[in-house]
Amino acid sequence: VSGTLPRRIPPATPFVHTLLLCLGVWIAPPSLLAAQCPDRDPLRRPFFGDLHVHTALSFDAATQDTRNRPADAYRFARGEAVGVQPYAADGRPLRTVRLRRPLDFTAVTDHAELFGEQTTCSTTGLPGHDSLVCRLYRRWPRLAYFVINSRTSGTSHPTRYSFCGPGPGCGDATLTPWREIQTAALEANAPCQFTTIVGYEWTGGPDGKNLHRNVLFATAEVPALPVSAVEEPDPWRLPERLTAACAVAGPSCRALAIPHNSNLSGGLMWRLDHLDGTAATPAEMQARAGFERLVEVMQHKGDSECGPGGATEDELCGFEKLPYDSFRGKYQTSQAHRPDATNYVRHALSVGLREEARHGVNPFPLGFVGSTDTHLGTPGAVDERGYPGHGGAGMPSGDSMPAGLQDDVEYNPGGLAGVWAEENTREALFAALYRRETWATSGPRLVVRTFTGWGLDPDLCRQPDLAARASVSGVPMGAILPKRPNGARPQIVVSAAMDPGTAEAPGTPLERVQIVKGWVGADGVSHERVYDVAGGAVTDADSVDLATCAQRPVGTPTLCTVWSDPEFDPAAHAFWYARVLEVPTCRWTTRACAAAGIRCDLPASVPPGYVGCCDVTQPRTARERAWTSPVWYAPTAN
Amino acid sequence: MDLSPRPSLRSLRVIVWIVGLLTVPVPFAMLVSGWVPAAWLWWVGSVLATIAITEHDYTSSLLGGAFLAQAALWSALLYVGARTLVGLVTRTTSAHRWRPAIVAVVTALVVMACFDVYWSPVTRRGPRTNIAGVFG
Repeated sequence: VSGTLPRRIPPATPFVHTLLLCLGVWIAPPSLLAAQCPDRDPLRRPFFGDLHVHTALSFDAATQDTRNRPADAYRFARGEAVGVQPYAADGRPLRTVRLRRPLDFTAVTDHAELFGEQTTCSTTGLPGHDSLVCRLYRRWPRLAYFVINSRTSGTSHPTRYSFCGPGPGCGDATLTPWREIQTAALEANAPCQFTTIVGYEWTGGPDGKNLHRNVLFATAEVPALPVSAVEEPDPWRLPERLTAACAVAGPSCRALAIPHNSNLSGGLMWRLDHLDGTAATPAEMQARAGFERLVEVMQHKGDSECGPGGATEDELCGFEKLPYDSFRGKYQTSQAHRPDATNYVRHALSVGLREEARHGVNPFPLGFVGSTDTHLGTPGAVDERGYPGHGGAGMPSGDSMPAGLQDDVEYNPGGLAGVWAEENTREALFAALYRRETWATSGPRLVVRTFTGWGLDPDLCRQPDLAARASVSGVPMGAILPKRPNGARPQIVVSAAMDPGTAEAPGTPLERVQIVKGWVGADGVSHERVYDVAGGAVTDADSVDLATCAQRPVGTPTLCTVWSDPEFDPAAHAFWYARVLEVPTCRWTTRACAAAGIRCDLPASVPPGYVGCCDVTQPRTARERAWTSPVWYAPTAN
Repeated sequence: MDLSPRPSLRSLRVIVWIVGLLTVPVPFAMLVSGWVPAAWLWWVGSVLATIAITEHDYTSSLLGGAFLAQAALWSALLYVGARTLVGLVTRTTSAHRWRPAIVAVVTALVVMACFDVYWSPVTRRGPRTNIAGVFG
């Protein structure tokens, strides 16, 4: 990323621009006046970031003694070291973390539901500070996490505590964190170097079934207060509420939402009805499709792409899976149901196709991103080596970290969002997010690009100007295929490069590229198929020494292919996306357990905090990966 | 409290019981699990019950009820334990040794409580902590 400052005036129009300013006339369109970076690339470049970050402003993070604030999170994303819990009595952090490589962009997305309550309970003198609820929060934060969260985020009828008074939010106390988030984003945004995006998390979850979404804003013009799940608990009505709030905020206010953790939604995330059971209307589906352009397919609470078993024969769906399908399932054995296929994004894509075939509206045209969902205020901390956990190890730490695994064994360090954009500015990145030219990774910075078209050059992979050529005859990831020429079948060029890593932490070579296809047959039934299109499978034993986690020399640094769909049916609605796999590496738990010298063959020697090391349901390796946003085909477009 | 040379059995039982309520770690399980004094369960349960009433809060009522139920269970068991212990002391020692024996038991419990014998995942200082960490 360039280290030089942007040119604030487009080179072609300095005189005109200056003249207009002198005359006090502002008639040029915003696009003409937008800043351009010196390294702007019209063919677009890959950027990596984290769009799901919690800081001390999130109630649940604060109950785990997270003290990093939005400004600290942005400093961390840019490569500075920050402290994390536990803290000594004098407030000194006992752990320090730092990214090996800075991020290009970040959005701090704190839970909006309890902004005011948390501010009230932690600020002496505010009305309500001495309430019993606030005393509970200060004395028993872990207990308060369950009690207070469930009132606002674990029910279909969220309510506020009496000390909040009437009206949206929790009185004026809600404004303080919301303004802090905006100020931190404003101050950390450095066009052409590092982009910040103002956002928050809408945290609805009836009966502990996760419907969470991150709401991101295109500009600094945002609603006066976030529309949280207390103000609008129904996700189908959220687009309308945010549109109304944006209309008041200003002309440049524009939002998109990124749902996440459908794997914890108990099947609710991709249903076509409201919480009260009434069916969503086509207009609501259209609104949702325009508002929810992306889905977070990977984060620390697991992978939401697809589930093993059920309708799929995709054996690689068994990656970072949670054994329960709701938050209640995590804490109550009786509620711990294994997620079925309806919890996953691939199901949503299929439902979208079916709805489009029936009614002409696809409510789930979802591009893919990954993120961390860190609750330490540490965006992009995805390294499996020395993973510090996503929160405070799930419990208060006092003045020393409990010895053992630093996170629940079923969790993982989370993923990243990849974006193809012309330059590193908020405008360019938001536009890329909106057009879904994005991909998700499970952590490593794999770079992957696809173009899909009706007549791609089969020799594209040999061309040095692949993107220039392919962008002429194809559409990028996230797009909808244009009109099909007679007799044509779609081709997809996939070009992937391994994460080079750093000198002290080199990246991992690639194993293979797959194309995942979904379509709706003439019978109205959804089908899916996975094709290996480049590279080949590598076994765990061939790839990594599980005793030491040393990698063996297998895999390849790049993979590229032009693939033509052999089973294309021009009458069938379809989607395709690419999945790029690294060769197997040690999972974070395997690394931590090996470092601690855990011997599962001697159970009595395993300390309590390391019991998870010997959980045979958890895999010892991980096949890290990237998922590109799909492209869609609709026969009706023809 | 009768601490005369020959205290009543009732007062001995009550002393041992109360100290037991305040110090003996008992297991609890409600979303998280741990080992804490039964008195702490009463305290937390009462706070949650109050919130449940004043804020009409469903989760607080569920959690508060669960804490109070466990507190009641352990309090009853600790009373039985205190009664048994005092009975053992009064049956096996002469009357003038009752008080020193009970003081020894109480002292042992208090000393134990000063060590990290509790596992309290919901308190700010923890989870492994001592009596000060649990009630502090």
